Amino acid sequence: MNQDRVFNAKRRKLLRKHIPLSENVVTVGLFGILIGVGLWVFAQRHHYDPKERTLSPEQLLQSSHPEKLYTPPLKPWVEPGMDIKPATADLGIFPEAILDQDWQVASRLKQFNPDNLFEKIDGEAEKFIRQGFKALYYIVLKSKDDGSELSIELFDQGSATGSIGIFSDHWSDDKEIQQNGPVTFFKTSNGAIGRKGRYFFRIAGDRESEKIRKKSEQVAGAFSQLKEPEENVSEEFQILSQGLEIPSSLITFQSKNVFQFDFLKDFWFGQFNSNDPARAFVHRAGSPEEAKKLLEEILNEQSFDYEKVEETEWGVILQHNYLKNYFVISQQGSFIFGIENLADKNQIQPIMEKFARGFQHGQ
Amino acid sequence: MGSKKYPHADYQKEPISRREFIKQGVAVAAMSAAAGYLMLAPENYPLSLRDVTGLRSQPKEKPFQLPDFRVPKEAGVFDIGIGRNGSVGVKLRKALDAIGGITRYIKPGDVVLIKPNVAFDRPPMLGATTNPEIIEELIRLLLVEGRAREVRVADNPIESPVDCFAKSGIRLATERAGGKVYLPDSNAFEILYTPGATLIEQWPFFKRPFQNVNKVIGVAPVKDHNLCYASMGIKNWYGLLGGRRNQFHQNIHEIVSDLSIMIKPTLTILDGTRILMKNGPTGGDPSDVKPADVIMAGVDPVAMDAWAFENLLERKEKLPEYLYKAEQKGSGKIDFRGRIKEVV
Repeated sequence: MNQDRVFNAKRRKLLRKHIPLSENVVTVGLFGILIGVGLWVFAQRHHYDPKERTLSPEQLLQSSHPEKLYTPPLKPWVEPGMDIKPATADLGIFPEAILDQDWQVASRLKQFNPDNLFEKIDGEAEKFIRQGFKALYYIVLKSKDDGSELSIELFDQGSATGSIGIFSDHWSDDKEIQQNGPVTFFKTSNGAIGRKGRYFFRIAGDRESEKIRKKSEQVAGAFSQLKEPEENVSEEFQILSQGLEIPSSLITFQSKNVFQFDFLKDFWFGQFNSNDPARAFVHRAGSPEEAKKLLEEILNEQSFDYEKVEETEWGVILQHNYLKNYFVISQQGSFIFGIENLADKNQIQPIMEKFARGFQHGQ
Repeated sequence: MGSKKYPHADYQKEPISRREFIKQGVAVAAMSAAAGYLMLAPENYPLSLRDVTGLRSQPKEKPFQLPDFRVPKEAGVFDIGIGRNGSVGVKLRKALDAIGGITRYIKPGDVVLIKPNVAFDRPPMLGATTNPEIIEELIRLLLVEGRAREVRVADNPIESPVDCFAKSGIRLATERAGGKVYLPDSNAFEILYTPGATLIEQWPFFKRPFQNVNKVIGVAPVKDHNLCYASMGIKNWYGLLGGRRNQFHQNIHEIVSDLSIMIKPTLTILDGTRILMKNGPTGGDPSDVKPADVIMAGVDPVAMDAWAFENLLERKEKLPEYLYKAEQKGSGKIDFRGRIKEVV
């Protein structure tokens, strides 16, 4: 049977005069499929239905073949004469005392600064930043024994004022404060919350158990080893702790909404006794004139709930219309100070005398 | 055969004429000049293809719009159902029955997306995330009673998605009930166009799990929020945004009200089983969490948030500003009176 040559000698053109229908149909079909695939790829891009593509980890495991990529040496090489300790997890700022035989580091140390704190606590970051936040160190411990986990957040608030402010936000009267050396904290059902110097910490376990509570208490105690630079404690804190001899665990700082007044900010409070609602307060204004103006505003606002009893050399004494307890307020230079929720009027003078001594300490 | 006929007369070249040569020469020169112009002309010249920075040839993403996932209202059916007493499953069923039952909203063959709040790497007892028991019960209800074809669970957490889904217990609950968790990755986001939104008219959105989905249910915890006073049903949708969404915290009430028009879910479910009363949205102390006995289900997220703010968070002060803004944007009505059915 004769067969035409496909190309001529110059390899230019087909010499076939007749191309069978089947060949044309197959060509058109293949061309159509190619166009279809192209259009499908273009249309899908990353709009695909995830259900069609996602493989479950179980499926992947079933079809996988374990391959040993690295065979560790039988024992670590030790240079003759050198005593090399085994590598330990990077604990960063955390003291080594947070680890023991049972509790080991489960995740690498994470650190956040004011620029990326929202990556950890979005929505709450502003609260910490407003109170001097410098850094957050985050680590997770895991128990070898039962697999329970403990998340530890350690906030560097830049100063004792910042850490006390944040601690005060978390603390309420019904939570019993504990003191372990320089560490002040209270226990929760799955951890502990507290502060030491400029640091504020939250420890939270993944379950509520006695083991978690014990470990949290131990970690809180270990924070007494936290190293921090010497810093000047604020004058208001000194007045309350040294002048009025109030334990530091009962001193709190309120950054806003003081006495539920929008215009009052940055007041220090010291509770005389954990069972007594009476509290001393002190605030430092920008100038004596500013302090005087603030004092007048407070007296004006308090006049709706309190009645003025008398004005003495110690300050203005007000009595609550219904509760009948006393509110005393005074000014010395840029400081505004006084007492709230006091039941016994006779205690006013000794406390205000202590304040006077406190100003001597503070200065 | 075998004859030396080639080249055949049909294929023999003919000599080119001078006219033809000039014509072809001019055509080649014109085409070269045009190509040169397109390639070399400055970018602001007409038809110029020059692209020194590469920005002109960058692919332009076309924003998409979300469909309305709501089902048509029916006369006599309450907008909000509240379930109290009993196990989580019983409360959930009571809440749904009060608004017509799950089958009123989910039809056989539906592909349902559940959006819980898995924002933080926190155990469920701290009240910062949705109670996983509700997710488990809801998925079972959707698959068994609703006869949904598929149930997906997705969120874009603030912290590591893997850790958040694991520690919150949502992953385990989802897989145990027969649902599937979708975690975000950088290719899963596309630009969403939300007409009428002030801050997020065009913003990256966690789109991939929405592919072929025809019903959407938000399941949110009720909790205190440091900036907007309360995080409930509407604020929950913040978890679907991508990009640098933290910048919106400067204008928190506007963004939350924008979220109310960004998506129109089939149902909103509020988890009132553990309420974070203070130190939200992250919490940290279980004593800040008040155990409660309420699950809400409804179709008006504005009214639901208003009710939860007053009755679950026990705030008697003015409602958060974002609820008034959401009402202005037409997402619902704050006044819940006469629109709630409670099943005890």
